[in-house]
Amino acid sequence: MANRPTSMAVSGNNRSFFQYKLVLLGDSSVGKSSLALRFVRGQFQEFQESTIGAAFMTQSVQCSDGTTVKFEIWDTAGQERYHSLAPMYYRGAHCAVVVYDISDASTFTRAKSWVRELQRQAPPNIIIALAGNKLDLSHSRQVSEEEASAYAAENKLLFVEASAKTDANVKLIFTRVAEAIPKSDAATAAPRSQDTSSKTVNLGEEDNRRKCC
Amino acid sequence: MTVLTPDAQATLDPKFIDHDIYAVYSRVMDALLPLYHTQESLAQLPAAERDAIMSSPNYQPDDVFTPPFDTPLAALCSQLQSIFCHYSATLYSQLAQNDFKLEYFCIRWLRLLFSREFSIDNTLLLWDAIFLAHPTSMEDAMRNVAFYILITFDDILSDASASECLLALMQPPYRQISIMSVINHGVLEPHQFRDSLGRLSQEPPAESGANAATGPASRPAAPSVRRGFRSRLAGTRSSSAPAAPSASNGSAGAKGRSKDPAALSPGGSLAEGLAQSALAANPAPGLAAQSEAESLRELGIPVSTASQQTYVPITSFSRLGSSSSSSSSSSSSSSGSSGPVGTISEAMGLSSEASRAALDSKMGQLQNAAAVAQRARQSRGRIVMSNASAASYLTEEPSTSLPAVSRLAGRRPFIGASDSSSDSDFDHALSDSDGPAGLGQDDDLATDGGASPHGSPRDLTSPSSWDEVEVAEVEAVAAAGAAAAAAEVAAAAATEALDSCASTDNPDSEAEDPLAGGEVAAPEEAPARPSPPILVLDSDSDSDDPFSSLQARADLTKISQQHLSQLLGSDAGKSSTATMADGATTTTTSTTSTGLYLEADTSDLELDGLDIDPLESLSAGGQWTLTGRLGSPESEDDVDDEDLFSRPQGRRSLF
Repeated sequence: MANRPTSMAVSGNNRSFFQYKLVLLGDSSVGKSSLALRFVRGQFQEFQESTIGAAFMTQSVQCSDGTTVKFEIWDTAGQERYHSLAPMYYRGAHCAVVVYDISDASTFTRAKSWVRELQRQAPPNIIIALAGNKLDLSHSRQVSEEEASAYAAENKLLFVEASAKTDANVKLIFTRVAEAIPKSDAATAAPRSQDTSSKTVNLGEEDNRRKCC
Repeated sequence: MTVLTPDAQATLDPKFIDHDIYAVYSRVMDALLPLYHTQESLAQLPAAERDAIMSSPNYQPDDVFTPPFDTPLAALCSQLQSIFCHYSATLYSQLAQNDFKLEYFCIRWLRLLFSREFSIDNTLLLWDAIFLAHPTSMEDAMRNVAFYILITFDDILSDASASECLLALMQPPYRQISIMSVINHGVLEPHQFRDSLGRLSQEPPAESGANAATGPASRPAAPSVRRGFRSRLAGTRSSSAPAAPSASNGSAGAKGRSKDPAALSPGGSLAEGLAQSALAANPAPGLAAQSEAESLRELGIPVSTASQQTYVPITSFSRLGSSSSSSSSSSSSSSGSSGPVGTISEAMGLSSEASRAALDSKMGQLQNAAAVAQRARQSRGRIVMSNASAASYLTEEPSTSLPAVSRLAGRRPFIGASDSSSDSDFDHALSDSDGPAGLGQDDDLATDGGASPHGSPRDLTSPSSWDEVEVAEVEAVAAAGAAAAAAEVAAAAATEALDSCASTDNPDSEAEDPLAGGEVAAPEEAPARPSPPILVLDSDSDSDDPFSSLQARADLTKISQQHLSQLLGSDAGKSSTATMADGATTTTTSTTSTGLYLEADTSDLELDGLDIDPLESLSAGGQWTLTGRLGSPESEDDVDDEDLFSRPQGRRSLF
């Protein structure tokens, strides 16, 4: 498992296979585990057990450019008591999916604070996606798509509304993250295998960033 | 056929199921409380309290080079890491390089006391063993159990990538692990187990080559190594002395409790009584069953299906502390033979040998019961254990079905003054929510399913540090044990109704009407319309495990409606909805024609705790049926037995 953003597991010289660490964050009961379970196993549990600490699973997606991205998904516990553990999980993550519940405005507020925390403390090149879950509850929606979308655009986040229950857009979240990462990777981060010149540059950038923060 | 002694009857009196649930739950969570602390929550504690927790011997560094730990959880994880490093430093460093942290899964292991790692039945067995062997401090057992679980994965750990290791370790339940091995090597004889590992590591390279770092080529040695120490263990089992429980008064789990043995002990030595009765009555089956399992393992046969699952946990809960002078005196006089009435002080005084003997004997008893059920299952797909047979195995040897859990619970949460066996007094006490000794708390407990962080103020020294869902989950296991106890009680009552209900006919009608056996007088405190209870073991015919969908149906007519209403936290005649503190809840009420489900749902923020069937069936018939089953009641017929155990895949309905 990769433990640093720069040690991205890239196998083969053709760079057709990538392995990334993805962390799911968000308030309690917004559906992080349900999204993960839907994505990984295609299942949905009406009564999903509370996550203790975190759950771990892997799933691969095919990108449109022919590459395969394997996600190591860390599905974290959303309860506040686990907040202090979160850095253990997003440390070294290449991407994060911050989940909120569209039928609960407070979870959107919490999602914003997760985004802030990630921008402040997570690896600098981390791809962040904002996912509004429980789209099937749109009749009791409290967070409008426009509001969330605007927030996402403002903070350069990917944005998808999805429903783990109906399977709407769930795979889309991960596919869009997967599509976003390699580009981001090529542009900024350095894979383990090659491109030493860009690696040097990027490490410098990283250092600079750490200093200013 | 033996009938339960009065002590046993008093101990198993269904009137006290809720007390027992509360007491067990409270004690378990007391002991686990330190592990829920974070740095932040510790910082908020008064300095003295914080120091008391962190200075506990359980949370000390292993050596002088290790800095003090931030939290008890970190301490246990680090100690486990030390043990693991000692087992194989190279394997550990290899894993550590890959960012493999024990904390990832140990959080769940330790905070939930392994209750998600095994099926509910097996969890109860494991808990019984832990509580018996380590009545005052569970940390030692927790470390050792965690270590044993961890190294059962050593093939995966050494061969696979870290990602695969995590996949294996973080997706319980661990069906491939025999609960009996966990109990033997993690709880009862951990030191022998680790000693044998140590000896092996000093042996010639052929065997130490099992060490992961030497690469895949050496891996074939590993299984033989394991078989090797298993056979050693088997050889030394009966003579070896198990680890002494590390009794620590500084243990945070024990703080705030009365520890005056004189106040609690009714006298007599339960430990001796247990050991004597367990050994004298039936030494062979328990040990034979154990050694059979051992030999199976030595032969490389996966015991998880061959023997492990034929044990059924009958974890019953006694009336704790016996709480009355009259029953105290009788228990002291009869503890040698029956011994079901225990107190925490006695439990704490249990010698390890006695613990093990009692556990062995209990296992044997369970094995016998399992065999009965297995035979019955072979004759027809659906097992209906008749009152007669259920009662017979339960009463054959009362002391061996004696619950370990019950004695852990130490103390009744209710006032001793309500010791009167009169229902009216008891009900009065229940309805007296201003009662000083925990009545209100118990009510909270039932209403919230333990969900409220403030629901049980008596012992919750740090309410903010309680985790709603986890708390409820641990409680749920305790409650499941109590359900089994209810079944036992019911079965015991049936001993006086053998003639009328020994013949059980159509299993289907049986399931629909557990009262088909007819009316008979139940022992003591019989209500106006007693009915014989029935224990139904329901199994698919193609299942290896006759207990995987255990339905323990107990007629609880002896319990007044008010009593149960209190227990379930509902107003009579209404369905109850447990609501979590933050109001985010869903209610699930499952109804059957015969009674009610109590569901302890541990899903995130959908923790409905205890849901009950609308009470119309009760008010209509005046009959209570407590139905215990694993798995979702709605989907039970569609799900195979494995899925019923597969907790991550769905709700877990404990009742």
